[in-house]
Amino acid sequence: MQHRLSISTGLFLLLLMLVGCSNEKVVEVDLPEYESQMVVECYLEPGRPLRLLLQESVSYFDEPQLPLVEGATVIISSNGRSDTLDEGIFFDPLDQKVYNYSAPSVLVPEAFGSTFDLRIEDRAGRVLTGRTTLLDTVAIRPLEFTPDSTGEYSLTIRWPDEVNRKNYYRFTFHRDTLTNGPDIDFLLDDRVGDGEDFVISTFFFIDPGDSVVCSVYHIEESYWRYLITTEDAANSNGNPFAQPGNIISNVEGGLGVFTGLTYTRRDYVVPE
Amino acid sequence: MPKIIFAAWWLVLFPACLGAQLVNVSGYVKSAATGEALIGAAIQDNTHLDGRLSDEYGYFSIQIPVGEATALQCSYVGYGTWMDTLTLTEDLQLTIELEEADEMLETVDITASTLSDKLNSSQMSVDQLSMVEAKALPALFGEVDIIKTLQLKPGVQSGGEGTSGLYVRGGGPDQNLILLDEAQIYNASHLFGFFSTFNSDAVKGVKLYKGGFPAEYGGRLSSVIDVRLNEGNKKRFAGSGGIGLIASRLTLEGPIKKDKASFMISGRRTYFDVFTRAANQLFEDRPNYNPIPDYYFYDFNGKVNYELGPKDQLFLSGYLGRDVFGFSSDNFGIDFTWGNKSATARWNHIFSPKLLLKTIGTFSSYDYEIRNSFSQFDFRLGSGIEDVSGRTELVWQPGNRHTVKGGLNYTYHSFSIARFEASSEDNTVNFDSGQDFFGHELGAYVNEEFRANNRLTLQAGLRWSAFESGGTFYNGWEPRASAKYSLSDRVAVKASYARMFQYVHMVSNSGASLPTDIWYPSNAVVTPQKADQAATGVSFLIGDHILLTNEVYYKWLDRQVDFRDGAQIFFNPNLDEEFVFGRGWGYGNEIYIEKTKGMGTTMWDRLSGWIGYTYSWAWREFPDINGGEPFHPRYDRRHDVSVVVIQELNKRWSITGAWVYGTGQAVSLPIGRFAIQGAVPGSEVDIIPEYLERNSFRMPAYHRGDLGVVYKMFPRWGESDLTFSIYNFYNRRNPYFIYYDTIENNQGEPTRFVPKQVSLFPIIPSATWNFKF
Repeated sequence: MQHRLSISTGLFLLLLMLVGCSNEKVVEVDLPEYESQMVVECYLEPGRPLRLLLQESVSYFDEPQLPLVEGATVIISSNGRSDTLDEGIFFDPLDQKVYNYSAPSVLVPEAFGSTFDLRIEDRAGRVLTGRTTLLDTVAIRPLEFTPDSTGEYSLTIRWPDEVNRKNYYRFTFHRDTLTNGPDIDFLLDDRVGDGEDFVISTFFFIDPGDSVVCSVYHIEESYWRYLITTEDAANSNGNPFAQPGNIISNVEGGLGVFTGLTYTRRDYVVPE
Repeated sequence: MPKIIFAAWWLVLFPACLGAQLVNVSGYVKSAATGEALIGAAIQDNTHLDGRLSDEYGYFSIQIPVGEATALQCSYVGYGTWMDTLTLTEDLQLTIELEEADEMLETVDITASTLSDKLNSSQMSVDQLSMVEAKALPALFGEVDIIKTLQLKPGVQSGGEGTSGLYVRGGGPDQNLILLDEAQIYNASHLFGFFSTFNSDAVKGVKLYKGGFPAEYGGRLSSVIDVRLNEGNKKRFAGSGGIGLIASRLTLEGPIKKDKASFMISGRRTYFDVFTRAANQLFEDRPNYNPIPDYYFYDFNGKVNYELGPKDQLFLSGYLGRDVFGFSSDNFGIDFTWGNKSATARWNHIFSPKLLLKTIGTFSSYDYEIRNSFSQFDFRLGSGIEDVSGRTELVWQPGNRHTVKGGLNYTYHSFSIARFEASSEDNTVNFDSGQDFFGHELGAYVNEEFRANNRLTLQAGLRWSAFESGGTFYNGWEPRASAKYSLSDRVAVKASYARMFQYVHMVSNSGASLPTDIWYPSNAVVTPQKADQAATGVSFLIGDHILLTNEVYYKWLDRQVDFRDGAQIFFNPNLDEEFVFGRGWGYGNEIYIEKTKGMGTTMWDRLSGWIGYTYSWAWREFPDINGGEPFHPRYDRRHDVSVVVIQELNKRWSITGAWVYGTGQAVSLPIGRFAIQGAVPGSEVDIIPEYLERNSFRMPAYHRGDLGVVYKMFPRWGESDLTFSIYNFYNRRNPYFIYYDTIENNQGEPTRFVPKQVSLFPIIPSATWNFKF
């Protein structure tokens, strides 16, 4: 889960710290009947195969399990070519992700500006569609390490923003390896400071010898809005100051996301 | 038609100028002990069965026939009654000084007229509270709070457990006009609303208008909360204060020039931070100890009033309050501060007993600032609003039956929105963003109160308001009217109508008032909010000391403001794009039974308090929210009950109690869920809740009982009391919010999901020592 600067969450944490006498108990909540929807997660990453995870949304108190959608017809098309994804569960150890539809031999081309379409039809006749455009990558400026008095380092990363164009970014920072989750995960946009450099500094110190991986994703507005609304929904569960809202998916006929995933990544080892 | 209206108006006014020759008796009603003006004191002509109330400065003017013996009486709650028979041949100016009740004989009726005045007033939908009443009631952590006491009145809802937010007749938290000595207070709460900004020692009293707004008030849709500060003792130097569980207070007051000028200064500060710092020092050597951040708030009030002469009075008052949260370590520091400032200068000039001029200048501001430093970087985020206002008002009392008010007011608003600054020591980062807006708000009004006869009183007013910001101009007419008809000496029926416009809007998607609230002007995209409210009611005076009132209201709210899903409120220079607009409405019935202290010495006579019950609905409808279907805001409450009892046992002991009950808050809860693994390598699977309808669930009902005991002491140097209170004495675990918890097995895998309710305050006993010298 990404982390925007959520002031309402911060305020709530502050309140709990100050009041410090909260108490909780299990209560009864009767949920109305829930109509499941298909949920898709498909990230088109240049140089990686076509693949996606297709599952169902469920009533909140249902048994925790991964309700995969079986027997669906999944087609991704671009530039007059259509590829049908085969059903089959596989685990990608590099990303630590699971997929249940894929075309291992078809790699996403590094064709920035290209448009891709997704069409899914399940056995029940439900249809989910989506469209995305592969955005270009951003150029990260050289990483800056600033030592403090104890010999540890903070890291600063900068990248330029294209002026007069709405740009949306996601910045992640992994320590040591990509297989662990990111230490920092920010969503950013250029509504403030259009055309100026983005500057991110790690709010913690890195020891000499540590390796770091910084990634800047250039993302579509629809994906950005999906991330914002899913984060808002997740944060609303347990935050009295938040106003829950609907999730804005960038697909029709279901929930989830179908988007290009272009990024620039830098690895660095802090000198001993 | 205009000519007919003009003629009719003068037919109404003209008889006041004819008939028997009259002389004016005018002046001020004051406390004999302190010289402070008494607001709303009843001045009655018992010979001709006529009367008036003193205004907010204690000023009154009443006309009596020339050369005819006239029995006048003046009374005020908590004070003894002044009576005199006057035979006058010319105007008389006098100052009536009333003795406080404690200094009077037990048999003197100190409040008999209060309920009768309420019964006979044309003003409906109004609640008045003195600090004496508020101080008698049990309070959370022993901190007396006049705003929380107002929440015990019918038609007023709190925002949740322990908070001092006000939701009046289905209106939102930004729709209350909160005035402190006529200067606007934008965020009247400390610590997320658990305490209000009003220091109980500095405040004289508060008046809450829920409807039937007089024409001098404008700018907010749902209520006017008019808080007045003490003026200071004109007779002698005095002080008062208190030492409580979480805060202490001290007020000093006295004459600058005896009977002519006085001052009052008052301060309050919490001391959470003293304890948390001590704890941090004690445990700093412990491994993995996380220091507790500093938090405190403070308030300062000051006031000077000066009688320049028999016809001129000057008042200066000011307020400064701030919450301070801070945390720092070797390389990281954060400071979060927020607060209000206000200042008021008023000059009252009496041209004649019939004509009074009030001129008022005010300044008010609210801002928050988050400062963050890390290594070589500094960040600052803040927003605020600043107002400079001027108002002038003429009050003309052509006869005992008429009071005509006319006035003009102007406010210059400065809005600073999402001001963000970032800098680094090496100057490679130097960034500044945010928006500044300015607005001009105008109001012009006329209001007439006309007592046609002893049964019928009418009040009619018209306000014209206007607003300009960034070249966009709005204006509108706001008619106001109310009427009272007495069916008998003990039964009165009342009705009122008011239209209000609101030109500045609070940007908050929490539904609550938070420190990070941003105020935003009307502009080409955000149009002014509008409300129309109609109310009618009936009041019964039962005996001399019980008043039963029932009011029914309906409120229409247009151009309500909310946010679209996924709205970005902070760091957004295009906030206009995030708003959505809709409408609202609310209706309900309020029953209120009030008992005042009697003149005897029995327990019943020494009992005071009230029972309020509200049965109401509040609705909102936005095309872009909830699929366009109407929904209830969080503070919609079908049933709301409050019972308040103050039982004086003897001169030293009093016991007090309050019980409140409210239908559970309307809340949104997830219905479905799905899991996402995300695009970022190594990220965990997240459970995303799916909310379908806005506020379609109800939390369990809220109810709570509080008890208090006051023991008064009379040392040589003055008075003091020990106040013991027990908040939530039967330890009800009231819901603050509900969330869905994920229960995991030993491997960290989810096994089931369960709804849980979080409660904040269990039973909380507290003790406060208050003193007065």
